Amino acid sequence: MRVSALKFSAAALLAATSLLAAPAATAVDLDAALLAKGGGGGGGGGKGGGGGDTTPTETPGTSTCTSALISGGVKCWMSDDVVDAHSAGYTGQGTYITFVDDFDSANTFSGNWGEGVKTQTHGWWTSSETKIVAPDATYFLQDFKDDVALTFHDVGLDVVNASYGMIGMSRFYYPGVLDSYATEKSIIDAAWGGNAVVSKAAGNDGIAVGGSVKGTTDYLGNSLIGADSVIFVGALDFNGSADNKAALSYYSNYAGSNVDVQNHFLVVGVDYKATGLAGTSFAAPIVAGYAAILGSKFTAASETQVVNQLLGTALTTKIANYSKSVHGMGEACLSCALAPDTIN
Amino acid sequence: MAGLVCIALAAPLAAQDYTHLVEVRAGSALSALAREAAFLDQIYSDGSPIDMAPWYGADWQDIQMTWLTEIDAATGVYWGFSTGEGGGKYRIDPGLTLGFLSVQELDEGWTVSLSTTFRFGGRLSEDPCTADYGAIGGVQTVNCRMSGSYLPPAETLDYLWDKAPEGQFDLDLRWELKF
Repeated sequence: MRVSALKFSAAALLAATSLLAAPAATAVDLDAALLAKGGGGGGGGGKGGGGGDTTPTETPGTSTCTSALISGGVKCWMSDDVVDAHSAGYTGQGTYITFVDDFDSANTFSGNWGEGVKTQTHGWWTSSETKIVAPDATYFLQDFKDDVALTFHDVGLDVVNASYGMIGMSRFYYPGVLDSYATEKSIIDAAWGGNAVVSKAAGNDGIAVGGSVKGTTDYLGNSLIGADSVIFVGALDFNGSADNKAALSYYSNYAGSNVDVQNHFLVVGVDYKATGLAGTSFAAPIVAGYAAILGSKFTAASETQVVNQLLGTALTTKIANYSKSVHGMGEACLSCALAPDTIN
Repeated sequence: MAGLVCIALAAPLAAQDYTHLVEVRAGSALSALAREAAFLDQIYSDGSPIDMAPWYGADWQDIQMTWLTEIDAATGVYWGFSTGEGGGKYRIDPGLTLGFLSVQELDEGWTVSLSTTFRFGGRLSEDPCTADYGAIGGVQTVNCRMSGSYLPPAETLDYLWDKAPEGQFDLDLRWELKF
């Protein structure tokens, strides 16, 4: 489901859209919404559209999660890392997470993070997801129709979650095209200047990040390619294991052939079967939460160092047919990012 | 300890049978704590497991032995020692046990006994590790058991073990009826 909040520039007609704010009433509706967006790229987990991919040799597994909640607060859709973070009781202190999203519109949809079925806007879904991971961070919520520059802090890690895109005609894109949009310019400047960890949803068109679909492209995503402190986040079908490996969700954009994207691309599990919520919109908030947890442990670390730690400790062992042009650096691993390189 | 008093009293007293071995124990609650740590699932940043056994495994367990020496038919003195144990990152100090036992026979088969024991030493302590967190955190001193926790490394040092053994002071008063 697209949420259209129109923003105009002299050069192009831009539409800010929520990335897959799909109503989750039924699986058919969700699939229909994804297909209507022109997704499907290379299809399935193979993602041949990226070029240079190897022939899949592993059969992806399937989610074993049948409901959002198991018992005792453990949420089935969570990775082990998220479970541990949620129960640690000391997560995200001293960090700041800003969500730019749809908070105010009438476009609501239902889902369940394991706290009961709720119906709310896209922004409340994404921000509440991160709050499960990093409840002790300080949160700022900004509706994306408010064209206000984000502000960042001198002390404490800053994180921005961008589960949305700025869709415009591909032929009108140029670096700096978003300079007249205060919010997006501040996000882009922060990513290039290393002033905030920008967790950017990769997109749901089944194409390579930076690519085009039906003549349109994501100006925000394109503007972030090459930035120091950005992470593009794609979605796996579920949180895999060594014995039950997960594939890239068919709708998820993938890393592609651009090395700058590959080196700043992570994937995480987004278990639609358990929560009724799907999309890379719900992958980025998990990485945003991970960044906050790192920032609360390594209080002297810069945003770029936090990004590099998440990228450098990603795992590939639980991904079916891992390929850097599809899955980037791999699956985000919080426990790995928190752990030492050596110890004695 | 008091349960073994009955065994001591029941044994016929010979001129040379004044001292009795009343307790031999291998391991303790503190030993068990260290052994559990040897199996903790700590990992390196590449996801490979950290082998905790060299730090929290021990070649032998803390062994405690206690004797009772009779002063007369109604009183005795407990004395003993514990060997302590240690691994790469922890230590249970050796200890001494001293105590006193008094047994009084009352009318009609009743017996009352009072025993007190004091344990000295036997404390569990732990050394920290040096962890290299790379560019994000550098080299830091950290609790070995918590190197991958969410806490800043310096705060994990507050959780280093510094524990007294169980039963530093025991007082036991019993009545028994033989029929």
